[in-house]
Amino acid sequence: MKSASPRKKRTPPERSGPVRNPMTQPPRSGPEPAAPRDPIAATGAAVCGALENGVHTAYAVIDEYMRRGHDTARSIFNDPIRRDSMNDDYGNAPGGFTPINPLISFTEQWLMAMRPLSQAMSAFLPNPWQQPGMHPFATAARVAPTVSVKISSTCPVEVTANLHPGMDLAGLVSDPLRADGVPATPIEPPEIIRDSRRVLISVKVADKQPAGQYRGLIRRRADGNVAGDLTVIVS
Amino acid sequence: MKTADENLVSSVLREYGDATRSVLFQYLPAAEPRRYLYDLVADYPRRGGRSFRPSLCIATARAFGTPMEMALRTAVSIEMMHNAMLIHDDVEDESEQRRGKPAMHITQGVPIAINVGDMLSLLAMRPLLDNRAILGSEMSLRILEETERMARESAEGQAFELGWRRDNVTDVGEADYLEMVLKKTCWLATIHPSRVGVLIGTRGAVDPDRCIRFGFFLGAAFQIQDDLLNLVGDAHSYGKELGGDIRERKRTLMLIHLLANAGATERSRLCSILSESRERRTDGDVSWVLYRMDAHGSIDYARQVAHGLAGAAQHEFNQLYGHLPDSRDKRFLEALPAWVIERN
Repeated sequence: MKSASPRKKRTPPERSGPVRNPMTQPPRSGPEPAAPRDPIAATGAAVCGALENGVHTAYAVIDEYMRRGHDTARSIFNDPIRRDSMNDDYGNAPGGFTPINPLISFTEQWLMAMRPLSQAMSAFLPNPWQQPGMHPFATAARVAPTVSVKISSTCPVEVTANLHPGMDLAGLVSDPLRADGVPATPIEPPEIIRDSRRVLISVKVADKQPAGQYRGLIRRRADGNVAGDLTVIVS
Repeated sequence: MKTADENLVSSVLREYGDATRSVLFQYLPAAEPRRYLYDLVADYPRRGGRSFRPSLCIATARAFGTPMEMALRTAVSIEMMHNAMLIHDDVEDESEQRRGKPAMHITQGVPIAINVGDMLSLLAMRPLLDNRAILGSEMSLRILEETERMARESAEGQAFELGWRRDNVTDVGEADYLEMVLKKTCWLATIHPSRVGVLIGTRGAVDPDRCIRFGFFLGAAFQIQDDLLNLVGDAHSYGKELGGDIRERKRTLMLIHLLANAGATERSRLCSILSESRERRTDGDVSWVLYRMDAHGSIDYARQVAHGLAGAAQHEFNQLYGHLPDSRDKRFLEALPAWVIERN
């Protein structure tokens, strides 16, 4: 049975293929339209999806960038000559002084020259490339310190101590531990004692110490250089 | 996405900016030749700025529980490198104003401005060398390598933009633009400060590559908002000439959108304007381009993309820093994606 009303037909689309990039509209065949009187209202449809498209494109760009970085890292890892350097993908870099940024070649040469010197010298003698306060015959692996923490507190406390590898651990002192971002009385400087086997840090937290995160630097008494830091979280 | 805590962001930027500047000026020699070099080296840093980059570095390190002192010299170096690159960028872009005053090459001439930029970038090495006393040799060298990487990425990004302008390339796509922004803007503005902040904050325990996505989305949203402000912002607070990017033929997202959507006649006129030398581009040309951007929704389009990228940055923040204990610095980092698209 036929319907009494005529069948409705959809108007044929102006484009003949999919529009994969919403930024690119199909070429216009007719005369150029006049500027719309209300640009925001008139372009609402074009803007729809801009946010999603932009984010998708951005993720594609950064994923591709990361993939290239990983490929470069893999090639460096497989090349024993280049493995030592973190950023040695200089295959496309000009060898000489670049007009764009002269610092590039300067830093590159500086790093290349200094790395073996630093590595060789730091194992034997105190020198300008060794950290002040570092034990002169120490390597980081040999002097990884054992740290014990003694806590005197009536409330739950979490203590984190970080000591720089290779530091001479004799004669350490702590700054007062100051509250992070809130006005509170600092925690008194913890006592730090070095015996033959370990570093003992004694933290005393007052009974009415407000809850919060307190931080301070650990320094060498002799020259004030930073040897590490201490964080105490009072719950 | 949440609205940015403007007070928190402002107070952190002010605090860390003041701390950075107070140390930065100690690294600027009071020596001869003052008139042609060292007085000028201090010019751009004295003009102020938001100190966004050093603050991001310090806040990232502190969010991991590390005192500001550990990150301060690295932050100082970042701010000095940023100012050095601004001097060179202003020459390369033929910009007339910087931070509300004439650009250095306008007042001092191009040769002296380039030399001042060179010196400032070299002076930025000294705080990194001084890091040895506080971070140790190994970490200091690592940060120096990170700085070299950042400088290289930035120069590559700038090369893209300069090349597109010189050759009047008009088929730049959105992905091309984002890759250029990734290198030119994001590495110095957001990725590098985040990477070194994480390295210092975790003493190298966390792979800094994890910061790249957060830094990219944050920096790209920052750049698009900056480009929008160049067109429709407040001239006084923006500090540069409005419409300057059109005059300088910069391939912004708005221009790329317009090129992709303009009709044949419009596109022909647009390409003609872009091919002219700066002196021959009139105020009328700039107004016409701006009017067509408005008519084609290019400005609104870019604003939408910036919002999307800020949302992606918020997502990446949660992936990267969500597990950290609550702190003022963590809240500052969390507020940045909204702040970069709300600032004016």
